[in-house]
Amino acid sequence: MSNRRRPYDKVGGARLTGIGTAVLIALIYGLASPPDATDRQILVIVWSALLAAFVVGVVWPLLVVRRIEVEASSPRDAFVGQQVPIDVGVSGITRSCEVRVLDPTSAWHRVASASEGIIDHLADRRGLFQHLRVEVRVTAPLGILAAHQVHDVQLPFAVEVAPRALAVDWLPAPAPLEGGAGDVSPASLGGDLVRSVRPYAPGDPSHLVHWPSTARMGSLVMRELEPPTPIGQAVVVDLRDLGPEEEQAASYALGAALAVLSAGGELVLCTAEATGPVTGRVRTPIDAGRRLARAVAGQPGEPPTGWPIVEIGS
Amino acid sequence: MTARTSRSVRHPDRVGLPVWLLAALTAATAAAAGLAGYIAAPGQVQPATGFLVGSGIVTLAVLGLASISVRMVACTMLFVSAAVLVRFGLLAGSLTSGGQMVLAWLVAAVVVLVLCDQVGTQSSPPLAREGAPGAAPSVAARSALGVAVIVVVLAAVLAPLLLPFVGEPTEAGQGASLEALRDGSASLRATSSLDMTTRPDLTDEVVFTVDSDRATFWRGETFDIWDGRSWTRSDDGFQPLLPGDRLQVGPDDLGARGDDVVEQRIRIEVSYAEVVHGAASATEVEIDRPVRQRPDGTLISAPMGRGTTYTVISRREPLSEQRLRDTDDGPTPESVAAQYAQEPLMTDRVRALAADITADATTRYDQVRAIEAWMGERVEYSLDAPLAPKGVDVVDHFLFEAEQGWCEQIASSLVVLARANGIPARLVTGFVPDEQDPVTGVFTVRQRDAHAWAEVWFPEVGWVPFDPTANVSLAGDDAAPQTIAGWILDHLVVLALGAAVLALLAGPVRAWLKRRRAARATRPVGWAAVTVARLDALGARVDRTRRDHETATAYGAVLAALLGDERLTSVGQVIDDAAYAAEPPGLDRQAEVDAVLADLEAVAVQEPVLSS
Repeated sequence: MSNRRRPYDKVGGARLTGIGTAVLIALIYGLASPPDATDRQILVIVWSALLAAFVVGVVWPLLVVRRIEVEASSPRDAFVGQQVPIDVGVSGITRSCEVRVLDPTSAWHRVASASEGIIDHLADRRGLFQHLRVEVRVTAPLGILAAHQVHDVQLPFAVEVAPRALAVDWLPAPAPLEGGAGDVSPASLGGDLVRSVRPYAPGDPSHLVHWPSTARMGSLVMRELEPPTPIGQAVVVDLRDLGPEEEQAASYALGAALAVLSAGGELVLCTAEATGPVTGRVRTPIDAGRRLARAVAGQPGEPPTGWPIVEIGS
Repeated sequence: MTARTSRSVRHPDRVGLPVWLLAALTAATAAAAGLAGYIAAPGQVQPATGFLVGSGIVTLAVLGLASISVRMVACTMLFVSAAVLVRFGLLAGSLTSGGQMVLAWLVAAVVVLVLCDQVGTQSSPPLAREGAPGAAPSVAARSALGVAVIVVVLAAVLAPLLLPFVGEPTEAGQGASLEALRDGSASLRATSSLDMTTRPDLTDEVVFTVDSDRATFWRGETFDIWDGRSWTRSDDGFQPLLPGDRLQVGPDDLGARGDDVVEQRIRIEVSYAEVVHGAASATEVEIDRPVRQRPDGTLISAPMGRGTTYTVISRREPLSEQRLRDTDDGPTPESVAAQYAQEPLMTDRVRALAADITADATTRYDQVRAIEAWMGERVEYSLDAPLAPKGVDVVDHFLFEAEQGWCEQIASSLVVLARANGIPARLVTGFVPDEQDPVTGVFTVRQRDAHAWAEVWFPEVGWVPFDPTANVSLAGDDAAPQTIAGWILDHLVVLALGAAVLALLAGPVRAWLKRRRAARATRPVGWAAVTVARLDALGARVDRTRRDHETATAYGAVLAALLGDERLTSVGQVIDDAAYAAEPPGLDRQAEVDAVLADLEAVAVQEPVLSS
């Protein structure tokens, strides 16, 4: 697509195209100084046809563009710099209209016979987005006027645009899980060392049956395993007073979070969201991205006691 | 070896453009340019050549300039054709092609704009998912035609509203010029005599246009003295008129008292003109220069150039054959009889012929009609007729020797023969309506439309025109048959609008026919099918539709139980027998079934009988 911005590529409003301007000039010229013609009637018919074409070319798109409805949906997760496939549906008089997504401005897509399709939209900012601006343009039928209408579409699910993760080489330290976040689950059925045995309880998996004790006791006895030494990190993200470096800090925080998770460590993210300070366990990269997408400049949540802490930001 | 490579330099809006859309845009643009060339073709170039040149250039430009936006090429060509059309067509002084071609150009221009817009939209990537159908040619065609029809209809509505506000009733035009003495100016110059021994040189040059709501003869000058070789007038004096003065109406011009008003707006299209043409019995003239009036009502203006426009208002009496016969007893004023009823110079055999032709006619009107009828039978029209030798009376030579001639000789003969019977008559020269623009109604008057006819004076009515040439057949071929191409050109607007309406209606009509066909296909045929449909309808009333596997017999039994009417069991059996049995039930059994169903259909819906 050409990068040149044509005058009628401005967002919203209605404006004459080049053809429309030429027709208008011809109309005004004909009205201001009607030429001396052999047959003034035919001259009037030509002028009237020009006027009729101008009126049709102006009124039609203005009416049609107001009768077009737009809905859109988007994947919930994205990251900065990603082309997000926006599912756009157009209803109403959709013949010969064009749509594009704004913020940032995407390319125009024609809506010929189908009324829905995908527009790849660049996620250029981190954040939580509930609305999407979609612009409709109608130039039909004569290409005299480009009528634009901007629709503020409510998305069914907010798009959470995570920062682009920086590559961070991070090795999380041992973390005292029991003294940390309360939602850390005991790993009684996970681990690699047999700590003790206990009688069978309904629901226990069969591969944990301790067969020698079962044989001796005459009833099922289950193994209890010792979990491995936990490692983890509490990442405190403070985006206050960073100015232009705020996004870089968020990207660094996501890189650190991903490093902790990829090393098998437990992760607690302490951030500030629009609703206030938030401290919480993060188990997947998607969760990390969502938390950092919602992160704003403010007082971050308090890290759990005893956890190794890394503070990012001010 | 050197590998030859070819680089595609096609403009982005041509890439992926459907072939039909490119072809349609090329054709529409070529048509617009061709029509502009047709309309604006200069005199020495045939309009068809102008069409071919215009459309050829545009076709090459649209298809050949592949590196330039096809929209830009098409729009540029459209605006160039518009400029050519306006500059060399509408403003050139003579719109020889008429309004139909201009209207056709308008339609082509609208189609070009619609298709350009579609090309612009097509250059955007589609929103549709993979495999979704693209734009259809039929949709584009309907859009283009629909918009064209709307624009033309709107223009037709707007034009009459705007017309009064455009242009002045009188315009000065260009200054008169004597540069082209051999052009059509000669036929618009005032003259004191009309030489009948020279052959007229009639061309297609437009001499003036007339905007009037009716066709009539546009009178120029009259002549009343015949010397056997040429016409002159007995009183060649002038009465000067200043702008704003009313015309002097002569005592013999009784038509000027009429209530039937004819207004004509005439625009001069030649470089020099003096005679102010208009329908007979002009009572007012609106012109921006001095005018002189002869006693016979002829108006002579100061020299007028191309573009000079004036308005003439004429009046006339309602005429009928009966009225003209009834006026025969009225008196003829002495002045009229003295000037116009005197026997002109004529040979004895012409005099005898006049008496012979009108012997059986009892009224003045019948006498004139008898002369017309006689000439219609005996003489022929030909511009190649032999000229009268020197010293020979032209009318005598025409009536008895050549028996061929043109309008001047034919009309002169009528005047001479009428005067031989004491009927007041005079020769009139002017122009007749021939070519009317079907779009604007404006008459285009060419030099070849120059004409001569006779005027006969009737008591209480005044001067009445008679055109004996209209009764005379052409020498050689009786009539040139109209060609198919000519007929199409004459009816281009009607044909185009009809085709557009048909095209717009084609889609809805086709859809309606399809629905109708589908409805007919599902309509039950035969007694069994119709009756089972009635049974289905009965079951639907108690919310028990027939299952796919159920026969009519089984369904009838179910309905019999639900509705508490055992007769339905046998109804189902009869239906199945009618459909499948080797010996179908007779008409009496079918009638019984029909009666049962009619009974049940007539009663109100009953509650189904539920088993306990």
